[in-house]
Amino acid sequence: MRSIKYSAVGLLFVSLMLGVSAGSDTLTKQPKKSRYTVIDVENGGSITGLVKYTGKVEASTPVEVTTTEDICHAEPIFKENLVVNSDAGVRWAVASIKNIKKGKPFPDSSAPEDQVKMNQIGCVFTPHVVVAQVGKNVLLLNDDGVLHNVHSWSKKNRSINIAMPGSVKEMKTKFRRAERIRVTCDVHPWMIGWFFTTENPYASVTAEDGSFSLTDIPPGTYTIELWHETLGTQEQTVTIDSGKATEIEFIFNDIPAQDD
Amino acid sequence: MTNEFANQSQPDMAGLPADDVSTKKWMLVLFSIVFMGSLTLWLPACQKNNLILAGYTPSEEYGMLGARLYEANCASCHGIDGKGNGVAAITLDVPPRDFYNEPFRYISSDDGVATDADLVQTIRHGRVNGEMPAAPWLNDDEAKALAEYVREINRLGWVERLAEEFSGDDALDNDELEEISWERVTAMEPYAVPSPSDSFVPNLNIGRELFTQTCASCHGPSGKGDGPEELVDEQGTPIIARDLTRAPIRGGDSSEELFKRIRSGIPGTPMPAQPGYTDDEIWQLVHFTRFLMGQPLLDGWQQSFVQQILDEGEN
Repeated sequence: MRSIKYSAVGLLFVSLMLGVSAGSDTLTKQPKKSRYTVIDVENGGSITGLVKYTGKVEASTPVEVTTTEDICHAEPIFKENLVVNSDAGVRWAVASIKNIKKGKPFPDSSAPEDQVKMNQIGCVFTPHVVVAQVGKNVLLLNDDGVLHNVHSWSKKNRSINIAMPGSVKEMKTKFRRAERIRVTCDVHPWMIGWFFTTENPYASVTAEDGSFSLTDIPPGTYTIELWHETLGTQEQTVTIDSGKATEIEFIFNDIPAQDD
Repeated sequence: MTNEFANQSQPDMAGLPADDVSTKKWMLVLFSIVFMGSLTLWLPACQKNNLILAGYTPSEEYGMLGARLYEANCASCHGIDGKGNGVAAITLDVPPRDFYNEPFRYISSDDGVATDADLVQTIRHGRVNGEMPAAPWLNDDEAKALAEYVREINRLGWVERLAEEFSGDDALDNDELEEISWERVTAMEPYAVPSPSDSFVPNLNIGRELFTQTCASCHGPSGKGDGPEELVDEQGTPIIARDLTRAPIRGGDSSEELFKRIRSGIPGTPMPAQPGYTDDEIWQLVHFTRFLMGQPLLDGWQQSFVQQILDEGEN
């Protein structure tokens, strides 16, 4: 009799245990909707800015071309991870408005010449930094007659590693989420490019003189984020008045230490 | 002497007097209750916490089946936490895959992620030229439960990396971590290997041309894995492109497997996907690769190629 009782007690506990372990979470399978809403921006303000680096710039030497020399050696290739002009202006930085919820639409990219594209010319990703809208096609072009592969090192977005043989001149890809994505080519290890994917159109790559501009911004107070692949990020808070241009400057004095 | 000892020890051996016996039984009952009670606290804790795999929640469909099978059959090489660091890993020439930090290699999807069928196939068939044994004894549910479990290890690796990478203002909330990690490990664009089209004629000249422009820079002009490039995988480990002339190919050397490797690439390595080629072009590459491997091909393929080489010789 007793032993039956004990097993009954045991069974009770066992069933309790099962009950506890059966509760498991389900995965969310639908991606979140975009957090950016397009509105008519009338008489918006603008930001013009300058990015400067005052630290030491090492004289750059061309990369060593080890393969497909006929294509890749036509002109010397310089790394673009820190391009600074004689006035300390920094090229290839991206200024963006952080977490802006409402604003102008993305520029119309339906015409072929307006499409967002990254080319591979003379074994260099051209341009070095491309701003792309999330969820929209980006054209990958290969003007070189040799094999390249576009290999992404994304975290939030799925990784891509797409071969572009010399005969394949054009491919498309798209990124679902906002992220700064490094792309490389395994065939030509010096090749590095960046996709700055964004949910809103307020992102601007600095020109050769380190300047950028963001336009048609609804009045309000925003955080402007400046990112550069080597110099890191800086933020500034800016108040935008309608119809007015605000000038800002980002100054980097040194290169942050690498984590790895 | 012996009798004396025997007599002295008798009461101890026989146990306590009658009253004490019942006391001891009750103590046993009490102990059992306490023991079972603590089990109920401990077992769920080990499922939810660290003893099996940090953050693991039992599967809706298979409960703890995948976890138990994994522990019994895979963990000795791949490690309890899936990082390829099991106790036997050191004895292997080919390191076991790190499921936590690396993508699955052998896939049949257009988005760089292994399908359930891919994982089941790897589990069932093992990997030739690796040291992963086949497990044909697993039934369907068991193989699927295991596949789901290793995918979950892969996902939890992404959760950790995403939480590390994005902090401060950019930090991801739990919903985003779940959502993005799920996207990273779930194949959205799986495909079944298509047959060549009706107009397809296997032609080694075409295959060789495609191979030269697409594969040779890593696999070498004659497929011996001696291309000019120095290659590293995504973990930064130097690797060499496969010598295609020396079978077996790790992902499987059937035409279908070669098709998948060429179309989808091998995630985690420099081997890219080929979305720029039509399926028939990929079939031409498959046939040329099989030629390099010394494997038989479809009817009528070889003659034209041999003829071509002869013609080239005459000119």
